[in-house]
Amino acid sequence: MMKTVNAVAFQSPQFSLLSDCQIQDIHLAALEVLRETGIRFHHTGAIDLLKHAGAFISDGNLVKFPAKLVEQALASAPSRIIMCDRDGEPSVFLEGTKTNFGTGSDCLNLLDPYTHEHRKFTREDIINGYRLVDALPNIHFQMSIGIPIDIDPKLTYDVQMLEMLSNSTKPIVFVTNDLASCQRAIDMAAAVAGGPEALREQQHILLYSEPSSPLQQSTTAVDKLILMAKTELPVVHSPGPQMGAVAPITMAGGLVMSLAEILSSLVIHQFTNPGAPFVFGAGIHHMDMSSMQICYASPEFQLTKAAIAELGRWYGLPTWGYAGCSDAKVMDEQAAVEAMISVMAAKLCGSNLIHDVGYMESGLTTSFEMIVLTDELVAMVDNFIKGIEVSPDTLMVEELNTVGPGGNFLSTKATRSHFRSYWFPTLLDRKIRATWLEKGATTLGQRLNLKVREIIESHQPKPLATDKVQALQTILEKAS
Amino acid sequence: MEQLLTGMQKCVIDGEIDQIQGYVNQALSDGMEPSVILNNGLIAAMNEVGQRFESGDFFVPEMLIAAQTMQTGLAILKPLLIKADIKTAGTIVLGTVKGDLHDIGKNLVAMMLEGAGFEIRDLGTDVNSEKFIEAVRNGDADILGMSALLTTTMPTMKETIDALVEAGLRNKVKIMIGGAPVTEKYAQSIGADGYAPDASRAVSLAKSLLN
Repeated sequence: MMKTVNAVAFQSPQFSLLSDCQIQDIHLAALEVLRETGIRFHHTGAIDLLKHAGAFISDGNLVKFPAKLVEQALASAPSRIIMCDRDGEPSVFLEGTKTNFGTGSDCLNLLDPYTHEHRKFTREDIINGYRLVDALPNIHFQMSIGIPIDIDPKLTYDVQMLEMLSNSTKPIVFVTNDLASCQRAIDMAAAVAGGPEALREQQHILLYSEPSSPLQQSTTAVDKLILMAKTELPVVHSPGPQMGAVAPITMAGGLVMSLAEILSSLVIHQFTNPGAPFVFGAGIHHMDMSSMQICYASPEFQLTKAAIAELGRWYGLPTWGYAGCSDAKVMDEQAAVEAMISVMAAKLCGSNLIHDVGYMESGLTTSFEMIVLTDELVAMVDNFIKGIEVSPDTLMVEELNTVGPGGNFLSTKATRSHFRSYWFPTLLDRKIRATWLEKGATTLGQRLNLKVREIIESHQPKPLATDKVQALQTILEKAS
Repeated sequence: MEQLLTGMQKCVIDGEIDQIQGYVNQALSDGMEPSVILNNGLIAAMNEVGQRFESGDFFVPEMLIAAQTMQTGLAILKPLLIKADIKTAGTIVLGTVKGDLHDIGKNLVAMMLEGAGFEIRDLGTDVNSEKFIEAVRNGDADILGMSALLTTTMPTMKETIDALVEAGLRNKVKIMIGGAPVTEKYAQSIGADGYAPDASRAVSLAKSLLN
């Protein structure tokens, strides 16, 4: 038997973007912006808290941060968050380089899977979207997907939360418009989990909120950030700036500004309740200067998201990411190409909570077919990331000696026991032409659409217990 | 008896090559007719394997190991079947055409056809038209099967068919062809009787040609 020294049985494909020195330069530059210029906080409570903690306040609400506050906050934030499904089973691990994929939130338009029309969302559409997420094995969490126009606009976020809890067991990343609706969302999730204590243990929901770039924090965003810290439910307070518009034009500059905003949020969050769960994230896009649109699928967006993943890991925090998005208007070849680079980059950089799957047209429109395609691409890239196992068992010296020149390996026991470790696609076609013709000679686009419709028409999510449905209904009625 | 046959079928389908002779010997010592063991045990199992392959539940390595298991069982039955003068499903002469050394596809087809109860005369690779003609002239072949992987060797299929016509032997056999570059249209254009895109369908084709 061959002897090996320092054998590494698995070495998966490697990707690294920033050097340690570059990461430190970005970190120190953000600290300098926080010290010299600071962040404007439109929130009186936060200013009092920060002043008490040792920040410097000037011009009424401009908060300047000494490095020690930021580093204290970084030290107390936990390195991992485990989100459970609706039944309390751990399902989404936010730690290290583990990747989990989910939809986006609050799109205005849907590409109708039956008429192919570009139109507004209805309540039925978002329900179909949540059931789609529930059915797809490589989509791990749900966001609200769309804003339905056939409900009372004041209850948009309440209805979204109610329907997500009712139509899928997968963990939820939610958005709300103010403190009261955020509290109602928490109440709904708590009713389903079996009380606030159970929800805190299960971490079934995570809030998405945003600073107001450049270098500002709004009243409602900080309200929600403080509420999440107090309840010890996870939050991602993620800037979404466009470089060249509300952030400096360079990627390093976009990172420095976003980092200053994230770190100022983390200080508020950790000084409110040290050890409360916080996800490190930012979506740093650039503005396409010919169309003035936000690019969701540019190669540079893949770079900034990889930088955010590396910075987050450097800080020891769970990370936020993006994939399955396109700037195309329909589910066409452009959409497929852009979906692939985004999934490949996301898997290589190892963000933990990768969202916006299904986004088209700068996040204005959702395509259900795009969600189904991404489900397939995640499986495909998983099987690229797995790398090559090099071990006595896989080097197959015995097998080669046994079969010898001119033989074949098709019917050996080793082939039979190993061949299934190769990936078999479910939607990408490898059939011989005759079979492909026989099965209707479909394009990938047609197969994606067919799968969307099959799931909408046949998938039955695990029903929510009647008393819990009633509890959600009661919270919704009180809100209206 | 039924239970024994079901166990034998499962043994073939699962490719338990070490156990198949045990089942066949057990059936023989229980007094089961060799033809019943062949048709209701081994061939029935291979039909199921073929169906599973065509529906996408089975993959090539599983199909092959099942075929090998079937043949291991058949080895015990063969002398008994000959003694009892039991006819096979038909005799098929196979070969990869001249200039082509690729044989994995042909071997796959041979195994599947054998699994379905056909008698196979495998002429190997790099087979010229003279050798094919000789095999048809001197043997009792029902079907002649030709395989090619290379586009450069495909024309030999036509040459062989033309030579068979010239020798007055064309009506003596059915001709089926296959291989990666071969198509239904090509098969028709050179006067073959049939084309199958994969090993499993080669079995259905052979059966239909002899019906």
